[in-house]
Amino acid sequence: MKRSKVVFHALLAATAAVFFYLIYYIVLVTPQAQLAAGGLAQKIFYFHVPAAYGMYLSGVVCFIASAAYLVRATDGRNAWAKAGAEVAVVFGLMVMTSGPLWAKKAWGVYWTWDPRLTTSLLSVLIYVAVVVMRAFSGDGDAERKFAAALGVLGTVNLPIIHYSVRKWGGNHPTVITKGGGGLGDPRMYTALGLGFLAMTLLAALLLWSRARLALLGSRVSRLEERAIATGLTEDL
Amino acid sequence: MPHATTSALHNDPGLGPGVLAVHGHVLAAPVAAPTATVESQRSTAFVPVQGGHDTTSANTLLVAAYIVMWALLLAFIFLGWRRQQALESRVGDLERAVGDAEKPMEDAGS
Repeated sequence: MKRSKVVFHALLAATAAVFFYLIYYIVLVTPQAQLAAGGLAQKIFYFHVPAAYGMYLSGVVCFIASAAYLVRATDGRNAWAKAGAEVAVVFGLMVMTSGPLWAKKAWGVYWTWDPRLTTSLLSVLIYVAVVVMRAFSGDGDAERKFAAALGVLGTVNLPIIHYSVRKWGGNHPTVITKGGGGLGDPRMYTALGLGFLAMTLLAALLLWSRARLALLGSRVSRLEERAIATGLTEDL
Repeated sequence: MPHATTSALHNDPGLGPGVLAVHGHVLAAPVAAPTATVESQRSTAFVPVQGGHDTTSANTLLVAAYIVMWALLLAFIFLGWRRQQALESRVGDLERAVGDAEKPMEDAGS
């Protein structure tokens, strides 16, 4: 078995183990928060915040790879830029679905046009645009460059999400960031730490597998070009 | 529930500002419009917005959130895995076809 395959399977096993332990810890060990924070629904927090961090992480990968692709175009850089945007969409959707369900209990409504919610939605929509563009506009150099530029733009919005709540206020809490009241029990910090670890491993796993998939797609394109050059047009 | 007098009502620091407690018993967060929320309250409290109706159980919301997140994730992994199978099979077919087509050309060249 190739070394990369062994590392991949080890990462997969570690991710699964951390997730199982995280779910056990959240459900059975972590205490319930105050009713004003949503009571039992507050436990969504231990997935919601790490998922947002996962989106940031994937967005940074997309940004670095996209910027690198704009400097010098290679299949590898394009693959990581594409993977970053795709994984950012998945994490973004996890955030945008779990958040409103928690908000329903804590705030009384699923959605409000709060600065952090709005900027987060904007960022997810930008990554969705990158993914849709790549899926439907072909895989030429011009399309790749346009997608890379859009990927850079999407990540520029991430710090705005982070600081929006401090700059413009709103309903979204800043419990664990600067100026927040913190978590009232050490087990809550452990659960959150495990959540961050789980989402880091998951992000690494998803990014790796999606980048491999994108590279495989590029390989197919090269082979198709070779096949056409050799006169093979039937049964392709 | 004990009778709440003005002096007995206070902001419990352990619960965070905005959460009312009477002799250690949590009552509820004061209902306020988001515009009335000061920054210090927002940092640790969850304030219902105007027009909100809290009728859904926390259990249902918690389970729904976890199911939706896992469903999204598993669907993404499954679709990626299926695409990888399809691409690997396509690479195999193309490599075979291109190899077979290029062999006579190489033989003719040598």
